Amino acid sequence: MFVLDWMTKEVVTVSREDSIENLTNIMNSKKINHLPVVADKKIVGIITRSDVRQALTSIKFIKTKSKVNDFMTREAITVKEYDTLEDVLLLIYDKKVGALPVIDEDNNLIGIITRHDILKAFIKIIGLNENGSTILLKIEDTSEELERIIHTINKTKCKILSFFTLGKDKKTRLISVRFDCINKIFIEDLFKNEGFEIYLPWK
Amino acid sequence: MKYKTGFLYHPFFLRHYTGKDHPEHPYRLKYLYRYIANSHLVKENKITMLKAQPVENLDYILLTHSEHYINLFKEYCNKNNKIFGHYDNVICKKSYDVALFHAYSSISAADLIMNDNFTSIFIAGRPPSHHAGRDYALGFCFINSVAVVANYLIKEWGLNKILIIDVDVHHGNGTQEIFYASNNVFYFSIHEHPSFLFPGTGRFFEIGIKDGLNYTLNCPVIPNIKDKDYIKVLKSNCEKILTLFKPEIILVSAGYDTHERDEISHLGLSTDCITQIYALINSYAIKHCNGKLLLFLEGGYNIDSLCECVHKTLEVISKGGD
Repeated sequence: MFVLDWMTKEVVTVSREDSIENLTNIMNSKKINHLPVVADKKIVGIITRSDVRQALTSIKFIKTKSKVNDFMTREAITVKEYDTLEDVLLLIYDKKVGALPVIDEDNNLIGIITRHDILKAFIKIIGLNENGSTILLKIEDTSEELERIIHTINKTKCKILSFFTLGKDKKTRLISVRFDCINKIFIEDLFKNEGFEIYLPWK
Repeated sequence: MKYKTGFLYHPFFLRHYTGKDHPEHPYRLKYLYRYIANSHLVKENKITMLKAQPVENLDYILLTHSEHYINLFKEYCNKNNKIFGHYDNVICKKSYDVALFHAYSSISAADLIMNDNFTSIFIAGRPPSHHAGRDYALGFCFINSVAVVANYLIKEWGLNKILIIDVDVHHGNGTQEIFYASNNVFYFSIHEHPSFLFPGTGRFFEIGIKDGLNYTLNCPVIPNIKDKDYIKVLKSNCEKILTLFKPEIILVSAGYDTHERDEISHLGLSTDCITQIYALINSYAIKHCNGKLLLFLEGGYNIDSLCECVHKTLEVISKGGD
């Protein structure tokens, strides 16, 4: 999955010369926290809600009008449209930033991808936006076991909305499978009959 | 006040044929009717067997569902399609007629309550209701009869405070969605947590929007909850709602798939617990709504536990305030 699929294409931008005082209104009315700063369509920085807050405190203090240029982060971390969703996830986590401007090969701004976009992506990846039931399997962490799961899923004749795994410890792995049908117990029984353990931590 | 309980039935409800392997099959009602008809409740005149007499008027259905959706459903059945919208929703040629018959019969039951002929009626019809939305069928549900009745009561009887309590093991996504922006209908659901069970909606932070903000309350519970903990959740939340909302009538999405012998979920409530649920709801109806209580059969796929628990339900609600 690529940045292209999840980024916001209609980006609200500001210029270096814009006054800091207008930014709060823009951010509030558009419900956004990050504004890329552009010059000739190229990204030259980024200014965030916390930059603006800090700037407004300083303006009060020094009683002069300030411009975006004085408070923006010049070295904005950017991504490209064919970078992956995983890249964005790791960058946002690692660099502790809330949004990444998306640029093309010529450094032109073509979009922005935010923490909110990542959450939206994961809601869809996990299948939470579609009606269904989820089952959790606890398996020995081997490729043979995964193969057996796929074989059993095939027997259910149900549609799979999501499938993901989590290494629980060195030997065991949890498998979450989300199906689109109401009869969850029927599916669980198929897995039990194949010798799988359903993960029921409350039992 | 004299309390009178009815049990609404009709052989036509069996004509929605879903196949012998489908959980929501006609035998559920066939055995239930026999069980109740032969029970001491009927023999001792504690309840009245009410053969459904539908009030047919498509305008009432269109208060809840779009015309496009209703026509599409009719067309699918007429063409003898086997499923509608999703492979869970098995249909036959008669499904449209039966689903409408269910909604129309429910309206006539609501009239019986509002005219003070009965205080409580258990509508033992099918297909079930609460997953059906304005424009879609889901989870064996095609027409949302509970929502149809609520909208009918608002329009024709001028009610503006209807409480829907949904105790099916699944969240009633359709009912919630239909009334999500309404402050005339309070939707309260207690169900197995959506992270585990279909349909995956009904999280605690789904609380309504616009005029309906805070008129939806969802209490998801984790699988294998203890009886006493379930009752505690039900009781404490119902009491809060009743005090603040002051309903004129209580409609219940009466699902019995929470039972420990039911094969569709993991909630595992005992028959005693389920009996207690309905005793509590009945006591709320008596205390707050002059006994006005309309129950709609939703899920419940183990025939033995379904019969046993519906019988217990009728036993407790027919006692009135005793």
